[in-house]
Order: sequence, then C-alpha cells, then structure tokens
Amino acid sequence: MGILELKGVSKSFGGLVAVNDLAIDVDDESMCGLIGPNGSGKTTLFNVISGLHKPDSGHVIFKGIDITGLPPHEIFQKGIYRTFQSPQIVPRLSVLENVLLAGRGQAGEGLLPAFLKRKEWRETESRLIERAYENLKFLGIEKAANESPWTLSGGQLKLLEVARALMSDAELLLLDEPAAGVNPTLAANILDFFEHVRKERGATVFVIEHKMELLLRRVSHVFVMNKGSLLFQGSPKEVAEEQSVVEAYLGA
Amino acid sequence: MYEFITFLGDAFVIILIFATLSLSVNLQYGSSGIFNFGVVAFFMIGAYTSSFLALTGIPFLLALAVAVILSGLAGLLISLPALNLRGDFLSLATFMFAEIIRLLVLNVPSLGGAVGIARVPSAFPSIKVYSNLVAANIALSLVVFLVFCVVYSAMMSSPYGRVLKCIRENEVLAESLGKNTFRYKAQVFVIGSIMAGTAGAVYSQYLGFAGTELFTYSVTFTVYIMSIIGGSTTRLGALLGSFIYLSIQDLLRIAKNWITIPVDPNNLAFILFGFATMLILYYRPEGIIREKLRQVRVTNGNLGA
Repeated sequence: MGILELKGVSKSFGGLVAVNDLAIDVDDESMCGLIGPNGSGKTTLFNVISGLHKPDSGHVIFKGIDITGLPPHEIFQKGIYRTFQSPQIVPRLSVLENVLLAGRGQAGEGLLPAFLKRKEWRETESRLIERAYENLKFLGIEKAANESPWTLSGGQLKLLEVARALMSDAELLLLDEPAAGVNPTLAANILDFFEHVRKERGATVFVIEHKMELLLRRVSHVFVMNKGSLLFQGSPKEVAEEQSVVEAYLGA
Repeated sequence: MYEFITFLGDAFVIILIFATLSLSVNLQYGSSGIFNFGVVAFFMIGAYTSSFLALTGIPFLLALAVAVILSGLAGLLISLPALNLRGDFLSLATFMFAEIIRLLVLNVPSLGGAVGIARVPSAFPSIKVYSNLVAANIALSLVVFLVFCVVYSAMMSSPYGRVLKCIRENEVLAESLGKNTFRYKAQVFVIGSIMAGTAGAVYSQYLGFAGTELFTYSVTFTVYIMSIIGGSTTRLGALLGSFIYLSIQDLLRIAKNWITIPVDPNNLAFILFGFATMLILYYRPEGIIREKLRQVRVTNGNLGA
C-alpha cells in the first residue's frame, strides 16, 4: 500500500462524469506522472484529493488515514500540498511573504499568539524568513524577494510555486502542470527541482504534465486517464508503447 | 473664540468616533476582504445597549463592557451563517441584517421605538461645563481609537495579518496552504463588530441620545467612503478619511451662510463624495494612504544588514 490510495473515487458535475470509479495507488517517495487528454479529469482528481471537491463516492486514503471530504486546510496540515495550473499569488504581499505563507508551525498565525506571544513567533518568523530566502536563492529569484509578485515573469511565477512547495514541507506534492507555458530548459529545471525535493526530503511527487519527453524520463510510474477513467498504468516505457495510450493521447 | 474652539472640539469627537468605525471597515474590508455592509448594525447595538444600561444607573465603563460583549456576540452570530456566502452575497446579507435590526427597534416601543432613547447619561456625569465635557469626550474617543489602532497593528504586523491579506486576495490559496479561512474571517468579523459597538457606546453617551434615525444604512456607506478615500488598509487612512469627510461636510454647512450656491450644501456634499469615491477607486483604489510591502533587509544578496 502506497502513501496515497484512491478507492473507487467518482465525481460528477450535473450530467458530466469528471472522475469515474477511479482506483490508484501512489508509492511512497516516488515520482509519479498523471497524463491524459484535456478534460480527462486530471485536475478534478487533484481537486478531490486536496479537498476542494467532495467526491460523490469512494475514498481518499493518505498514509493509511481516510481523508475523504476533509476541508483543504486540514488536508494541507496532514501533509499534502497541491499547486494549481495557473500560479497562485497574493499580489499585495512581497514575493518572500508569498513563500512564507506556506511555512508550517507558525504560532503567530493564531489570533491570541499574535498578541501575546510576540517574542516566541518572532523567532520562528526570522528562521522561516531565512529559509524562504534560501529557497528563492536556490531558484534564482531572490532579487525579487521584496517586490510584488506582479513584477515576476510567467516562468518566475512557476518558480515561486516551487519555492512555496519547498517551504511547505509536504510529504505529498500534487503538482498540476508545474512546467506549463515555460521554455523547455526551465521546464526541465522545474521538474529537476521537484526530483531534488523527492530525493533530499523523501517527499512523494505526483505530477500532471503534458511535456512527455520531460516527464517520462523522470517518473517511475505513470497513470493515464481518459474520460474520467483510468485507461492504463505502468512504467514510462510500457506507457509509451501501449497502443490505447498512443491512440487516446500521445497520437500516432 | 471660545465657541469656535468648542465647535472644533465637538467636530473632533465625531471625527474620532467615525475614525473608529472606519478602522473597523479597514480591518474587515480593507485588510481581510470581508464586505460587511451592516457596520451600522453593530454601531447601533453598541449604542443602544450602553444607553439602556446607563439609564439604569450603572457606570459608563460597565455599560461599555456589556456593549462590547453584545456587539461582539452579534457579530459572531451573524458571521456563522453569513461568512459562507461569497463577496456580494455577504454584503447583501449583512446589509439586510442592519435594516432588520433598525426596523425591529423602530417598531418595538420598549426598545425605544420611533422616539428613541432620550437623556442617555454622559460618561462624565460630574462635568457640567460644556467645553470641559467636550474635552473629556475628545480624550475618551481618542483613547478608544488608539486602543483599536494598537489591536489593528498587532493583528496586521504578525503572521496573522499575512494570512488575512492572503484571504483578501486569494481565498482558495489560503485554504490550500492550511489556513482555516472561515475561522479567520469570523474572528475578524467579531473584532470589527466590537470596534463598531464601542464607537456606538461612545457616540450615544456623547449625544445623550440614541434613535433609529442615527443608524440608517447611509452611515454604513459614509464609513465606507471614509475608508476608501483615506486608505482602506491603514490606521492613519481611517482617521484621514473620517477627517476629510466630516470637515468637508461641516465646511459646506458653514459656507452656506456666506456664499450662495444653487444646491443645498448637504446634497452638494453627497455629489462631491460620490465623485471623489469614483476618482479614488479609479486612480488610487487603495486610498490616499497606501499599504506598503513589508521589506526584509538584503545586503550583497544575503539576508540581514
């Protein structure tokens, strides 16, 4: 049994069945890919796992605990962090503070500690600031630390998401097209950063990505979705050779 | 000269009371993105609670304490169902709540009805000279405003405030980053309601009166205009907005006696503020005094000085 297990998960919107009786198992400390044509239900599946949507039926099990239907903030606290297809920013916070938001164990985020335990959370805060800044440096966007994320380019915004994922200390990272819309070199770098996180911290990375040549070289296992169902799963080599996947997604 | 100074002092008390109201809007709307269009309801609950209690003869501070608790409780009760609504629906729900409270009081004679509550005891019963009373009220309303400024800055300068700003601009992100957004919004709603309730208690003891005509929805809009003009994210913006709005209103009333203008000065004030709000929202949506991005010190690419 892996770190994340889905059992018969279904989700419909009105008459549209976005996810249909899906069962998958993601191995601990692995990097897995999720591919499929547009509209095949990949993002909906991530929304169900991360708590933005409640599934109509089925179970989401994380580290052996049923987390089905929990609100997103509790799912984050259990150790899952998900990114969105379009970078999510808080424009009127500096880039550094955008990263700080993902820091765990911030006593100063509570109402009473904000008033009463200023000394305590100030220490945590300066430690987190250092870490956030190191992350920005590692990704090469530290010059923008004090600026609004509005000043960042599209590629840099994707890196901001990486910085936040690094900061989140999540055991499971759900990445929704982390390298979409950036040049091939940066796209490769972004995926390498997550590979680094996996190796260094033992995190599990579950990633939706359309850039096949980049994805298949890095993942150990690939799930293929089509029309809400699991079409196929296997090693990158098996997926590339599977006739049904080629027809539905990869093209002749 | 004596009258003039008393007049200015009187204006200043009202400016400070409305600055406190405006600060509550800055906390809710400006800093957390909560569209509470029922601010006046909590202003009114504070005013009526403390007025009724003061009439029974208990000291002002005790009446104020109960008013604080009750307005906070009212804020909590309305926030539980209302905060699940998104932006515009929340503003409608809170707006209707304020109207319901006002119409309820207006139609229940034992709550004061259309007559209101007359002869509300002052917070300073021993002061008989009017100018001294005004001075004492300046001190009272200033202390109230400053106390809430401290509360506001303690909230906004901590990681707590960072979460509020995230909720204001990107609630889904805040949830995905593990923040219980509902709890944050409810807390902010309650604290904002307490600010407004306290302002109401100070207001009614100063006027010596509480009546439904003082608490119509136009108060809410006035306070929003103050907040938007002055700067909806800062403490100073709340004070500046209140100062600008009320001074212009008073100046236009005085000007009426000296110059002839074709419109009633009160109506002229509404027209002016309508235009001012539009211009501010268009060209400087954060108001005159803007929020600054928090900066960390970086030297040669390293943190720290």
